[in-house]
Amino acid sequence: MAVGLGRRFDDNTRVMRWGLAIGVVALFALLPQVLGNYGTGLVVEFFVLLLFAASYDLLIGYTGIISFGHALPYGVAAYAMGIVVAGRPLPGVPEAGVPLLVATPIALLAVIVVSALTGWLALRLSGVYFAMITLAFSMVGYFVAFESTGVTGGDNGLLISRPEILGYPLNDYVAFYYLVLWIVLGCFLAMRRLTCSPFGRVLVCIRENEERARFLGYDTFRYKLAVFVVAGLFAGVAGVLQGLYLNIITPDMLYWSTGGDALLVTLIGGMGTLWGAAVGAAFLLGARELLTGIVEGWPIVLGVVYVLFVLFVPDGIAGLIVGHSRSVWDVIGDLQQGDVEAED
Amino acid sequence: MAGVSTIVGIVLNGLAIGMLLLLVASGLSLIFGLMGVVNFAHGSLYMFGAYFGLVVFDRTGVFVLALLIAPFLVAGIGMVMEYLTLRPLYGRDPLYQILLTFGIALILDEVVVLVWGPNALSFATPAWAGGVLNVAGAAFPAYRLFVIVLGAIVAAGVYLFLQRTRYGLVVRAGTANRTMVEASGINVKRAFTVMFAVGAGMAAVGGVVAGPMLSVNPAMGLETVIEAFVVVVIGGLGSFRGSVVGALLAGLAQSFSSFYVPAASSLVIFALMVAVLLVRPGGLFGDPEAGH
Repeated sequence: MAVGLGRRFDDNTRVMRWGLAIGVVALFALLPQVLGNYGTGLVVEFFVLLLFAASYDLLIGYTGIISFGHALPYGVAAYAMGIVVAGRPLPGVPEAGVPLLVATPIALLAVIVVSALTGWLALRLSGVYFAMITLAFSMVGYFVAFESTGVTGGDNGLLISRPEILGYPLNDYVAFYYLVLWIVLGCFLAMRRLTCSPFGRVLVCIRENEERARFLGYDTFRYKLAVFVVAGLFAGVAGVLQGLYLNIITPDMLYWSTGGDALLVTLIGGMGTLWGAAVGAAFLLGARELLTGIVEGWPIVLGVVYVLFVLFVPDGIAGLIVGHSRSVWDVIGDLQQGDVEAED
Repeated sequence: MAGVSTIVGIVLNGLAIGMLLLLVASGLSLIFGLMGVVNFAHGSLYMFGAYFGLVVFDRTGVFVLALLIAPFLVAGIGMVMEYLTLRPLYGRDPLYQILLTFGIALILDEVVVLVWGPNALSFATPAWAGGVLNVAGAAFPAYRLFVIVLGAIVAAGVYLFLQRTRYGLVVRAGTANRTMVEASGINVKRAFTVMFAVGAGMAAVGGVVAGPMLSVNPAMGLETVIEAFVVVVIGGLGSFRGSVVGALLAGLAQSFSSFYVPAASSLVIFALMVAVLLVRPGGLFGDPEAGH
């Protein structure tokens, strides 16, 4: 995994990297002038998936904990926002709804509470048990959203319309695009800053050897809980944006396979890099756009690509770019070695 | 208050659901116990069992034939899958095995959509089990009784296989300490492949018998694997006894809640799992260190 990538570059390339980053952002800022409604929407989808997957990378890539319930904060934030904006019949929610500027902090607060609670319970376990209990929490969320038809709209989903904030009409696709662009960029930079901070280094230490981190005096439970809540918070931002983008919030957002998408994107892109999430998101959406309609059953192609990545490129596309990868021969070697061991 | 016959009906129903879960969950648990692999594709193998069973039953009209042929086909798929994809990963981080089997599940599910279409297919109940029996005053479909009996027979068979045969011994020893078994000169790798095939076959039996009870559709694999995971976690990873108890508990909990609180019926097994894990982090019969 490519943490500590910065050391590979000297000061000259540092300038180049800044230049590259600013160039990419400028390019994205220009896009809605060129692309139409559909293309712009696609890029919005890319940003939201990027944010969702990057927040998941904080858990899997930096801290080394595999959650199968990342859909929970994503969906909870979307529903909390939707319920208060649309003024659904829930005690304490005004019937007329509240403005989005008030609803978003409420949604994020809800995510913090839910993530802290589920994390506090789930982090007592580790490994497979942790993965399964987080999956269970997300499914509990799914069934609650599915069954409480009165508040959430159940299977039909919860319809919301993009309001106007501070005289800024979000209904306009270009305006909405810029809002998403700046929010996702801000979140991405915040996450990047976090991973470079002493806190982020402790997370990497936990990933590499949790016992040693404990012996060094770190209360690893607290660190894991903190990153679980932070990752949930960013996933929540992604959830709110996704709800606003689609104008509808459905129980599918809480289904465990939504969290599985984050896993897929992070793995294909490259774990432990954050920017790998961008590569993976572009890959997933690009594959969908290219293959839908051309190849029947395109998810099979995606599944095969994914399996090949696990076998041959465990460090993802980001790993390929910075030069970590296993060759086909390594894997065949593993196979043969397995047989030789077995014959002994 | 519900009468005795209602309670009997609910219990029998719970046992039938539990037996289906048991057929899938015990294979999952044994594979984990021996190889430390969480097989996400296990539900897809169950689904393949259901579809193969449907094809055989439609062609021949003999349900027993479906019950005999489908598991062997699926066991073959399981063996190939284990050999080609899981073997290269045994030495690596368990994370990659979860990721890999997750990917295989995606592929298998899409293959089913391509071959049999996205809609649910109906699987007729075999004529000889179409009736309704009177059990302690409760009218109960004969087919569900057959599921309970068959599930019990298969579970007993696997139990005997584990306890009384040489391969069972290797599997149990391998679960306890793989390195030690290898050091004694036993081919654990081959035992892995055999165990994987047995687990796949059991899941396929579950799929075939589930056919007439539920509908056969491309989403059944992922739905079932999640429930089976929950059962395995309740019982304790790697413990056969644990999956039996977990499956029956989960079946009964589902059956009782769908009678008394229908809205919570899909939630109840997850709640049960959370409760068990918080009290006994390793599951009811599990070793708390097993999943780490």
